[in-house]
Amino acid sequence: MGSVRPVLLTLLLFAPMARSVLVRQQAPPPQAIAIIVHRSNPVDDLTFSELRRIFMLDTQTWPHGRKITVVLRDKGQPDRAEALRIIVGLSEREYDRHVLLRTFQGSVNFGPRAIQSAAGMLRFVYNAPGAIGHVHADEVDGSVKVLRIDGMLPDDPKYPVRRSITGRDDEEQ
Amino acid sequence: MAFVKRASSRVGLSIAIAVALIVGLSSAVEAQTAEPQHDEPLPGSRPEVVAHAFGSVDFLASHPVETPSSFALGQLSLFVTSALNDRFSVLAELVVEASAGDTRVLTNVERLQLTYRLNDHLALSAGRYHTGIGYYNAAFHHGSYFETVIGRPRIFAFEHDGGVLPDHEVGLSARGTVPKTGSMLRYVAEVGNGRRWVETNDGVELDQNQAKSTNVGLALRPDSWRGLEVGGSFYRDDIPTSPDHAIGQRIAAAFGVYRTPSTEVMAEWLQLSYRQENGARYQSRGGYVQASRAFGKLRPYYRYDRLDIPANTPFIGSFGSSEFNIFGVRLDPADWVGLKTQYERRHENGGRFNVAHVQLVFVF
Repeated sequence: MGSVRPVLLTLLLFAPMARSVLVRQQAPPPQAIAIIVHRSNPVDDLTFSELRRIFMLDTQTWPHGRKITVVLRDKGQPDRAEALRIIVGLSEREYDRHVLLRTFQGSVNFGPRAIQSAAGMLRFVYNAPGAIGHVHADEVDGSVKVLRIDGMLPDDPKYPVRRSITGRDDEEQ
Repeated sequence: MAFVKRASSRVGLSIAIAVALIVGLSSAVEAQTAEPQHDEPLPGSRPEVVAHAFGSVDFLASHPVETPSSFALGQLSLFVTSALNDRFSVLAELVVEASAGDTRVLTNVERLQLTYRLNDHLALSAGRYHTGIGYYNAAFHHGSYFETVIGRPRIFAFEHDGGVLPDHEVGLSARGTVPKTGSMLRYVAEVGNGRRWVETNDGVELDQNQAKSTNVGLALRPDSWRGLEVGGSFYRDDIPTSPDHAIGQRIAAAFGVYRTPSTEVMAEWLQLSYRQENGARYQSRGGYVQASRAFGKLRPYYRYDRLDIPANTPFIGSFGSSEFNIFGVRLDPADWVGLKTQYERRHENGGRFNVAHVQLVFVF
């Protein structure tokens, strides 16, 4: 019995640490941002560079010829700033300036569409055959197609379009 | 020999255009906030219109004093664009210039283009455009908001500001990415009337000879180095000096540009050649190097600007050579507002000048 007491004391002492380790192990991976398109879009896969060019409005047509409509969340919404930071590596202000410059240069006719909510984003992409948008991976429903980015879907641990400040996101800063 | 001067149009026209643009702006604001259910206009629906205006207010003082130090209104650039459908779009840029002393205005249609975009590889435009000579001319237009430094490089000065290039032309242009290059290689090809150097009595819209100007350019934007662009262009035209004689003009340009939101390094060099029918050849050269770096809302910058024109060069010999060193800082206190302050050490027309220049730029 005398030898059991120190073991119990040790367990009690390290219990909070063990709990935090367990919690950390169980924590879900940083939330992925799903890139969504219309279900009829024949494109299934984009490289991260291609995705960035689309959101920078450098690429404006899909390979099958349809015009691309980039859809973002409304200005000022955290999801918009987050998507821009991760995908194109720009702040909202920098991105707005970029879009206006490209418009002024005659390269684009209007900037990305702005949508108020995730539900609105899904609805828009469902209705627009050329649209490409973003929602959190857990907000995706069956009305849209989720694109593979660099060959990976959002549930892949190495999926590059994530909230975390790691990997490619970090490189953009 | 008289050089072509900018044509001014009527005040009534400019007012009508301004009203039309304001109406367009209001509809654009509505359009941007709506959540349409389609990415292309529905049959019978009105095309969306995006409109912006770019303005500036300047203050300039020099030593030795050439002209009294002055406040001045810069160009007011009224810009409007609209996608008529998935393929066709229009773009117009009208510049209104007012004198500081009164409300007289001059209006110019600086760009007016109808564009058919087949895909990313081919966009065909017809109308009046900024020629794709080098980088600066097609990257920066009349709104000075996007320019870091006050004023364009001397070699890219607009025609009516004593510029030596054909900055504007009426004709056809094709732009796009070269297939199978991962969108990294871009091209431009243009054919137009060329710049009118000699005043005649015929209509200003018409070319003065059968020869059309042509311009081709290539630019590489490597994916692995975002913000970098290197390229070049070649322009040629035959400029008539009389019904039976012409001077061949060739303009070769090379550039390297690195631009990100925080850092900007730009360098361009152009060579202008004029060849007379007797074989005599005249060459002028010009270019600039410019660098800036953002520290929060402040962006210090420097530009070295040089233009060498032999005095006996046809058409532009009297424009004179110049060498500028420009130091300045730009402050962006709020969205779409910028304040530039710069000191210029100018060497031109055999004299040396110190110039202080302040410019407030804005977009709405």
